[in-house]
Amino acid sequence: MPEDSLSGLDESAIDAEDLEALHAGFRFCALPAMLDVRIRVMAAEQMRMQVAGSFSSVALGISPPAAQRRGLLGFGAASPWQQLKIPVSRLRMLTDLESAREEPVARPRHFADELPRELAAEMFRQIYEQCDDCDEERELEVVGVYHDIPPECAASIVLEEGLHHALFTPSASRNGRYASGYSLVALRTESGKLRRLLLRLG
Amino acid sequence: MQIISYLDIAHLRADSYAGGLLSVNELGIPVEFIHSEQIRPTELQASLYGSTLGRYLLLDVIGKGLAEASQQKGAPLVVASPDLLPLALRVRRPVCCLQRTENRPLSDSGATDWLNETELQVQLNETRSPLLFRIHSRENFQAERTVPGFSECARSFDVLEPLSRIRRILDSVQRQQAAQGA
Repeated sequence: MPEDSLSGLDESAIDAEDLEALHAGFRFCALPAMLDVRIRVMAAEQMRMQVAGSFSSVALGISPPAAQRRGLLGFGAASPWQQLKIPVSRLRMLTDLESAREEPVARPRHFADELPRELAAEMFRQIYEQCDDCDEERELEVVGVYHDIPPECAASIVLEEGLHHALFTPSASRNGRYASGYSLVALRTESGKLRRLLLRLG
Repeated sequence: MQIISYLDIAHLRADSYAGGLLSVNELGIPVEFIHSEQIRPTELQASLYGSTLGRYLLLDVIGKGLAEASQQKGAPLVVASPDLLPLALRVRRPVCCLQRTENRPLSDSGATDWLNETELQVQLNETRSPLLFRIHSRENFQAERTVPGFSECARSFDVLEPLSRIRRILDSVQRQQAAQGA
């Protein structure tokens, strides 16, 4: 039986001459296809060896051409060395605290009823104290409490639209100090105006 | 002083990357900011490294590089994406990724609830939903020592908020560099 037989074919049912022609035809078709496959396998193996060689030389700490010269790698250099290497050690890390302090810090809003009872009582006491002699409307509503806003940054405080956050900029502190324990209280007056108080609640 | 470090790596235009590491104190005020130069792999490097390129750049080149350059070596490191959690194998500090939940609050502030080996819920605020901490391993994170620091910081600020600052700082730095180069 020819080596390249057609599996599953009942050859006894075919005339001998036709069978010979069929086998010849099959071999004719199969040969280029096999060659093509073989070429592809060889190309893939060569590429794999070249890539592996490049990485092997990375592990050795020398370039592929140098590795080849020293007989450590048995094949041609894959590519220019500088194009292969990712320069980990040469990647510069830069410090820039100034830029970080220029970026506003956001404090989330809390509602008065979320505060512990003693803290809420202290907050209302200070609000009455500070607003008692105000000429404005007497009815004030606490619409937001924002914890830990340093008084040194008071000039930079911005209330976000919707009052979800209060923003302050750390660079606004001229001496680089930030006192803790201060909370910003946003109050709405009867006429709808917004007032802000920075109270020490901590 | 309680410090938390935050790491984010931005995939910029033209397939280049830049990372930033921001360390803040217990008031959320920056005490350190380090960023990497932009790094852009060549087409050949992209072909050779294949699908491992992104992981290699994010973890071994930028992430590890920034963490090692930081002065706050013992501070817990909050990463912007779960893809960066394997940094736990490369640096000696607790690494986690935080996510908000809408789950009902746990018993009290500081309470923890392990969901599985790599996820735990932590109640950082008495009235709000717990935060989900994703970690690489219990050995690296050491919850008993690390969680109290987060609880302390959470009294003053939203512990997820500094992450959102890093991209803006990186943008600002890039703009400054572009202006200087022009």
